[in-house]
Amino acid sequence: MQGLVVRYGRLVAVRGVSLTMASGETHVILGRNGAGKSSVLGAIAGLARPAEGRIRWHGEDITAWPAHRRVAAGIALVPEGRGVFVTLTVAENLRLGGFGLPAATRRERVEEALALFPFLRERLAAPAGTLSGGQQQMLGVARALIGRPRLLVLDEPSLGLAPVIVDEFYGQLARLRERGVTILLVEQHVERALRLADVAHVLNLGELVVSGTPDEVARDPRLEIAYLGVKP
Amino acid sequence: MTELAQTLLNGLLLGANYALLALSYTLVFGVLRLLTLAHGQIFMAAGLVALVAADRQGLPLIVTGLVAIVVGASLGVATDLFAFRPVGLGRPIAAAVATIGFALVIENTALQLRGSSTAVALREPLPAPDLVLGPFLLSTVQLFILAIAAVVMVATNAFVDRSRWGMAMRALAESPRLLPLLGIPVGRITVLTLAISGALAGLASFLVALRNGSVSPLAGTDIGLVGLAIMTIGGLGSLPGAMVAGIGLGIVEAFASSIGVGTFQSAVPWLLLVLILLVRPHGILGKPE
Amino acid sequence: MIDVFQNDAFRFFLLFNMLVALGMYVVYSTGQLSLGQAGFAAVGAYAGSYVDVKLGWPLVPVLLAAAAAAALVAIPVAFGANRVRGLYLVMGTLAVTEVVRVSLSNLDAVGGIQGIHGMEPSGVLEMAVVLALAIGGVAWLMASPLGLEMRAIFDDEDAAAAAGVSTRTVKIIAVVAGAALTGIAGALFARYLSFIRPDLFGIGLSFSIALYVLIGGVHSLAGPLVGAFLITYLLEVLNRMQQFGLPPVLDFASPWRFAIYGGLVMAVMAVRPEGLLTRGAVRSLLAPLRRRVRRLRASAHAAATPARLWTAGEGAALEVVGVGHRFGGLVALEDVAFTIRPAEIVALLGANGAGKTTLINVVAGRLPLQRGSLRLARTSLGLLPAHRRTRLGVSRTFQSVRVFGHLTVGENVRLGLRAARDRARLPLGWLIELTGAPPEALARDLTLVSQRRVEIARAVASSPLVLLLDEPSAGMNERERGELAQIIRSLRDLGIAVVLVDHNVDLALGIADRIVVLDFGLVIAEGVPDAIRRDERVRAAYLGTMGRSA
Repeated sequence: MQGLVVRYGRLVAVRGVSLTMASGETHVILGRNGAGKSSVLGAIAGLARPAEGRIRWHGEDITAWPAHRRVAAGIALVPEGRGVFVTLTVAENLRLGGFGLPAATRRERVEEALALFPFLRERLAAPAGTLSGGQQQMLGVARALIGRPRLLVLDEPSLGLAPVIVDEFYGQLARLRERGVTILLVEQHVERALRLADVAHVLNLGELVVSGTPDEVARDPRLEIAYLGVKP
Repeated sequence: MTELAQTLLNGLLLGANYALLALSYTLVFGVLRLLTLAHGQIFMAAGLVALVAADRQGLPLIVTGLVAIVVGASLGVATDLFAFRPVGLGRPIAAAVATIGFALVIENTALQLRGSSTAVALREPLPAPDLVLGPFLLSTVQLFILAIAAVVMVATNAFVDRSRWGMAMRALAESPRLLPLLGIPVGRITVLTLAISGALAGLASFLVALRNGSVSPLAGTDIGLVGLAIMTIGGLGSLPGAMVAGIGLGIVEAFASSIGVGTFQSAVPWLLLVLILLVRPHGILGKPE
Repeated sequence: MIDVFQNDAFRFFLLFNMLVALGMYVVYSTGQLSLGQAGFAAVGAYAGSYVDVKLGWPLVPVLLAAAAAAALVAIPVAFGANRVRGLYLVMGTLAVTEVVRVSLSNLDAVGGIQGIHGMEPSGVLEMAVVLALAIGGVAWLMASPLGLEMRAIFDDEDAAAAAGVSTRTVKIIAVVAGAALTGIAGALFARYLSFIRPDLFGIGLSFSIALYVLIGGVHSLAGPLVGAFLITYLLEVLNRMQQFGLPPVLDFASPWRFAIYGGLVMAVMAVRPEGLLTRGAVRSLLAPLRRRVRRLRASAHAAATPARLWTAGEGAALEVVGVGHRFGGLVALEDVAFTIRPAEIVALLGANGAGKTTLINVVAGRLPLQRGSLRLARTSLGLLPAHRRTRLGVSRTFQSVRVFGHLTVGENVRLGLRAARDRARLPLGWLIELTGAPPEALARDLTLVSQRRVEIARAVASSPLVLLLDEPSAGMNERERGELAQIIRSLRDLGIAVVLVDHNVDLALGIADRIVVLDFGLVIAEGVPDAIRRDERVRAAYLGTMGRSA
């Protein structure tokens, strides 16, 4: 099966970034803040329009598609800051994830999501705001999964979470990976992300600097340069 | 019927209309966090068009009501398209000012098309009160007003709390940026919200026409501001608050009128507003942000 | 189209609208959107007319009486305005207009609905002079430190309080001053007409005034003036379209002038939501002038490291004893105690929801002290509001960066300096360098990391004894974190006691002298970094597999 192709350039944030994903792979994008990671995700999810370049999804050019259309096509983004509605209950958040689906299908999918994150079952009627940060992050992922996305995109999921919670979260991601979900991850925690990924990309100042297997990238001196910002 | 009962009835009739109007404002503010100052003019225009059409075409009462609702809903959608969309959801003050501009357009248009500022009367005269319900003596029309208002208020509340679209509206109220990521187009929800809101204003206008017997092209600003005042008294963004405040103000105004406060009558909503805010700075049922 | 200026009435109303717009500008510059200005104009008009007709006073005392009367009425309104915020404030002030109008209609002493008549006439000249004086006065006010505080409140009232601004007082002053100015305008208006009635000052006028300011642009003095000018001019021109000999097709303009105006309002808001004259536009117009003001240039050269503020070992800087806090039924903090000395860095660690930010808010005064005690050196902080604590020497930054977006970097820092009171002042040049940003840049144009540094510099500018940093490294990469660590160390070397809350364990463990670990509102561990790293409870509650690396 073909995967995702992103190739675009934009003077301000990102320049000539290209990456290709095949189904079932887990990719991670690393880089400092301001390197353009969120911009790339924004372009993939449909929040931002690239000035140049194309995005191809299973052979179709989706560059001009608005965000909600891409969701229908199977791309689900869990944005920075978890992406849950704190004033709605857990159950309502999950319902929103399956907004366009017929009721029966939606109920099925919610059951699946609850099977993956059983702690949510006890909190169905509670406002999402009463969940801890880590639980909200997992609710955000559960919600995204209801649409049975073919590509799950996560923007800095460990941001603001205590280290022990991040451990737990990555455990869940690993389980998803085993089930064959294609994952694209943006992260600051180099170590953790590299352990999970099949392919890693490093962004520096808006340009794709390195791409390869985690081992290759970890040993590549350009990774350090990208992070420590050694200036020429 | 005793004078007390009469006053109470007047208060309820007035309050029912107030509550519907306040509900229309609250829906927009509660969901979009935006203020629209054009609803007074929408109220006026819907009633005007409905009554003029009824007059010219000889429409039955129910159809007149439907015309008012449809006109209201359309103008509501127009508010979204011409005032809110160009400004965007993130700039509440600019959006409110834009609705002021829109209100001016509506009012100027209505006055020019109508040709004069005289009121439009109902085709048929209102029936006399002939039903007895406990201590109250009312006409079928008055009963109709109260019943419709009550049903619509309950239905609106239920819609927002339980239905799929109501849930999407509440989600939008919390975070407009998050919705497209769920595959829910924000535009559709804002249009729906404004359409329902406009329809409520149109319905309120029709019910007022049934009570008073006429609609004046100059009525827009005053009633619009009172609607805003009621929403504030009830607590911004609170649907139950709007209903409580609306009915409450109706009753207070009716009693004030029966006591005879003279020229202070028009200041009653505003005095009530100041009093409530001093005691509860977020309105009766409002929540601090 | 210049002919309209020949009309004396038009000239007068143009100046009148500009003056009332100016009055509202003074009030709105603190973020209080007042729709009660017509009420103040009415009070001023009536007071002025009364002393004119009944007591025969000359012009200047009449105007002073008008200002005084409007200011007097404004005082309770200002206090009320302090209790409500946002749209509630707007509606409350609208109520003021209506209540004033109706009250005056019923007050027989001032003629009831008929009003007063027979005033000494005043014309365009008097209004022009008053307007010019008013412009000068308001310009001076906005350039003064008080003006800086007002603009800071507009951007972020809570952050202004945290920076030491007495927000209540400043907001009240703004309302009263704006009302006084508007009252004077009302009195001159009455003299022009030689009569007044209550319904001349209705809700419509309040809304018009608001539009002058909101369309013209609220971030500079010129905005409201330009807004009033353009709108008044436009409506007059449209009204008189037939007189200009234009093709008949444009005859519709006069009866449709309000629709045209309305359409233009919508267009302006779509294109320039902050008004026609944005702060950026005004700044670029004033840029040549600004280059001559070289105050901050002197400190562009590397500023020497300032002298120590405090010496270590003089007893505790901050003592937190038995502090507890509840949100309704939820216990956020339970019996929290720790001390910190000058020239010490204490890091607060803990999971989200462990109570770290709540503790900072309680110490800073943003949350009331429900249980326990707080002492800064030897002063008890318990009952003091946030801005007083800042003035005494407790500064803080916020988790989500809160700088004053419409103020420059230099202005942000200077605001902090005002809270330094009688403590030794840090050099402005050094503080600007701390921000790492050019002093003339608008804070909202900076990157997030730069904004954080501006916020820190502002907090440090008040020469605090205790500095509370809430997640300063969020959003920073490794190099920026290194710079931040340097900055915090240099602050410690100045003698400041730094309380650091941060999720970046390497940063926290790396620079802290001591660590306090919170979990579910309780202190579960306290000690030096190495000990904390190895503590089992801390591992389980927070660190997990991280923090292993030394």
